[in-house]
Amino acid sequence: MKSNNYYSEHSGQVRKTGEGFGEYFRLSRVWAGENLKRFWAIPAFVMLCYLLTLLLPIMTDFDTSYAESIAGFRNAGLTFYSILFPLITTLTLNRYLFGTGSVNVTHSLPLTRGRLWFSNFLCGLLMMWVPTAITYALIAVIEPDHIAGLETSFFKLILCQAFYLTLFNLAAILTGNIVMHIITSAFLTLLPLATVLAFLATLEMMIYGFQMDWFLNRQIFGFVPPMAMTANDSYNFAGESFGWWYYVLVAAFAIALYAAGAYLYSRRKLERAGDSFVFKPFQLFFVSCAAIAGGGVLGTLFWSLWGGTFPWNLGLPLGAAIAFAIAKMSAAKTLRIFNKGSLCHLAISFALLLIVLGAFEFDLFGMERHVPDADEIVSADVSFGVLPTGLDLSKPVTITDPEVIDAVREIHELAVNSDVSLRPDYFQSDYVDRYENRSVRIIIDYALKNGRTFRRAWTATMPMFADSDAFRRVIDGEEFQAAMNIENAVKDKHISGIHLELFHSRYYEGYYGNIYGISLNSVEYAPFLRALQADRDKVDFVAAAYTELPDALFEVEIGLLDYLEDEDPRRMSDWFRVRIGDDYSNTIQWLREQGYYDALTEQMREASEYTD
Amino acid sequence: MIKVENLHKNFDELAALNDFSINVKSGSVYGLIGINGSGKTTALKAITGIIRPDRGDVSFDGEAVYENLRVKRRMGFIPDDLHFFGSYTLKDSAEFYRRLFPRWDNSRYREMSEIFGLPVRKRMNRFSKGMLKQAAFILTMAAKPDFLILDEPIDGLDPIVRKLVWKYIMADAAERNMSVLVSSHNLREMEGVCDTVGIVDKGRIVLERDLDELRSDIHKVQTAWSKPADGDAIAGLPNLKVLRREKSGAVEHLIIRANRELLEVKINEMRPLLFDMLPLSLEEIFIYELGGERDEIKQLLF
Repeated sequence: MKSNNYYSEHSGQVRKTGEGFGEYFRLSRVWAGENLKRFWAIPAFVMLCYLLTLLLPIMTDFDTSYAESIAGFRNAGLTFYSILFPLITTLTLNRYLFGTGSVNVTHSLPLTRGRLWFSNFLCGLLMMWVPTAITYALIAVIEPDHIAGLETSFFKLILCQAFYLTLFNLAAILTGNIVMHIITSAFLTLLPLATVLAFLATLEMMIYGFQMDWFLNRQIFGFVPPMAMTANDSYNFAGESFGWWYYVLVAAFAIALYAAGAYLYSRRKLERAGDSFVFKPFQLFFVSCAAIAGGGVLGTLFWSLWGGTFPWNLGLPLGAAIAFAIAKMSAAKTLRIFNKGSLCHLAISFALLLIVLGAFEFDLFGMERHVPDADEIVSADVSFGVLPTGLDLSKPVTITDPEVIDAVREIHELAVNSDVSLRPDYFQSDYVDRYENRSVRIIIDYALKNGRTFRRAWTATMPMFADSDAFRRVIDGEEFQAAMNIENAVKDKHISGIHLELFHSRYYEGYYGNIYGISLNSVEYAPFLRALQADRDKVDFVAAAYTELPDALFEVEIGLLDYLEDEDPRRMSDWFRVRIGDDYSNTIQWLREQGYYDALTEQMREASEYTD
Repeated sequence: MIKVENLHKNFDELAALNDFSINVKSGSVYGLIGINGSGKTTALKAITGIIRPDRGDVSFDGEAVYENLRVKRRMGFIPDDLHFFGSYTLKDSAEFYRRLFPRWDNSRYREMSEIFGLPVRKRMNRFSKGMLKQAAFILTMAAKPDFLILDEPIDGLDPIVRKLVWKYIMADAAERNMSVLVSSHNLREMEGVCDTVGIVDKGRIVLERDLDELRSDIHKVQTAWSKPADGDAIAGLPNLKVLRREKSGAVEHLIIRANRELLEVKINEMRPLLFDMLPLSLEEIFIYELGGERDEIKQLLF
């Protein structure tokens, strides 16, 4: 029978480490002190980064584009720092684990593994937190003008740093060399929170031909701590983000990771120092996850490279096989991976892949084909990508009318059962009929009576909905019609002005460049812009206006920017580019009929004089 | 006293330790001899608490070693694969050891640094392998361990330094009752330093002998007789066993297992022309003790 009495038989004291409370911290301080003495360059590097990207731009108060770019980096930089600094710190502090000699000597010293783990963690925190605290204190003292949101930003940054320190420490324990430590750190950072989501979205897209909404809206990274803690618009750490529950969740995760790392350290097989993975089962886990995630990522790549025609049932296994081979080579540290063990791993990986594929293919979770019952629904936010609602094409319209909600449910069922044959010529619309082959992006976001939401999104071709009576009923409903009314939209959005940018591109010394634009900053132009947006055949009026300018012009880009109160201009979705033709008579005539020709040409002259 | 009982350690399919047991008495030097891959280093790692055996017990004066600071503070280990903080000087390392080991003796550190002639302010990543070994030895001995464990300690050291190293070890073993466990793949290296020798093969001790007992039992004798038949008569004497007999002209060399006093009395009674007791090397003792027949022993000797 296996004996586990390694501690007990002689001493009679199981797991007695021979240290008191005070002694624990004294020796921890010794080890942490040695770490700081040896690796002082890390906090120095952290401080230098902060100095160059946070303190100097603030202190010098540059009012230049350079300062703006630094400020931009400052915001994004905190996201970057919250991952980079912990990675560098753990790589350095845990380096002794990766060599047989160093790990032997270290563990023969009178330092327990628990103490080493705690001391290294504490030391890593100090190396990042002290420079961070100094930097924030300096900002608060030197530039009180920049103090807004400082404490929030500081709190988020140190929380992120602590979280990633525990995560990367765990990676250090799992791995046996520095390369695999970095790979595993990246893997642990991205895999659970992003890669799986990407894979699920990919599956949806490839199997059903639909796209999940969040896939395109960077929400795929929205749960990765630093991104999740920034405001959505600018990666600004001082801005609004998730509530306090998210920070508690991150802190709880960090504590769990710390405990897992400490436990695994006590079980770590030191003779495997230098191997890719100290824990062999993790190699299988790593390779399998890499195969599944790689299947999704590479499958998407093949799919997009072939213009969306590459079959998913070939792309996924091919991508998975390639990812498996790369992961296996990394893990085994050799190119010779074709052996009995690898085949076993490959079989397991593909079995897992098949399970995941099967789960989606047969909709085991019931999510793909689920349509909420009418009595479950409070309201439904609906948007169709081709119909202008407000000043945007994708602004959702909230439907509360029960009869129209029924129509929404019918659209949902149509999307789910997309094999229904539909006639393309039934639905006639000024907006839709010209885009017969265009994709329609349909998003339905139900608000349910149980307080939850249920959101589905699809991309389908126009003919699919052309014969749909439900579609007609939705857009003919009062709520949708109200949203499509431009004046209502202007009123609803509190728009102070509308900005029409007319750029012309000119070939100049080997480059095409946007030379200048003009603006129509008045609400009175709204109907004109709406007409312009709706009827693109008329857009070459712009070119006609430009013909009065002396330089040779190639094309004109037109787009709408909305000016909301107290906000920067936001580029709207409907941008297009027009090449200049020879016949402008219809356009000019149309412009004159509309009464806009004089105003436009007047402003263009002014712009021309200004820029020339 | 270091007591190791029934250690087992497997690396995947390989049984690196298989029922490994030894006892190292206080104040004695135990030589662990084995060919490369026999399990010596694994045994030492398990004994020093670096790795955790699958089964078995290790105790130092009755206390388990694994994660036990009380034991580790009294233990010094010099592995074959040395490692120091790269940017440190010997002085820096000494300071680190001073803070870890409560019985650190600074005067001893200074004395040994001078005697060994190592530069204390030079970064240790610029030391040669031999210098690193010496540095490890200085640091370990200055910590005044009660238990000293050495893995191939004199590899890479020149003969003068070897002698110096052993001088310190023997002195501490004698004066402070320090227990010493030393591994080597070469029996000759253990000559004159070990009290007990254990031969390890395939993860287990296949032979363990107290060298004093061995030396008192086996003797090399040089004789010459007026009549050759007198020499043959030795083999017939009671309480005495001739293990080997070689004749070179009139002089005969015999390896005899017997009590030394008894042997001297018996041979003198036979009035030889020449009778001398010659020194026996450790190597010869093992050869004659085992008849040079066992493969694991042969590999250590030849």
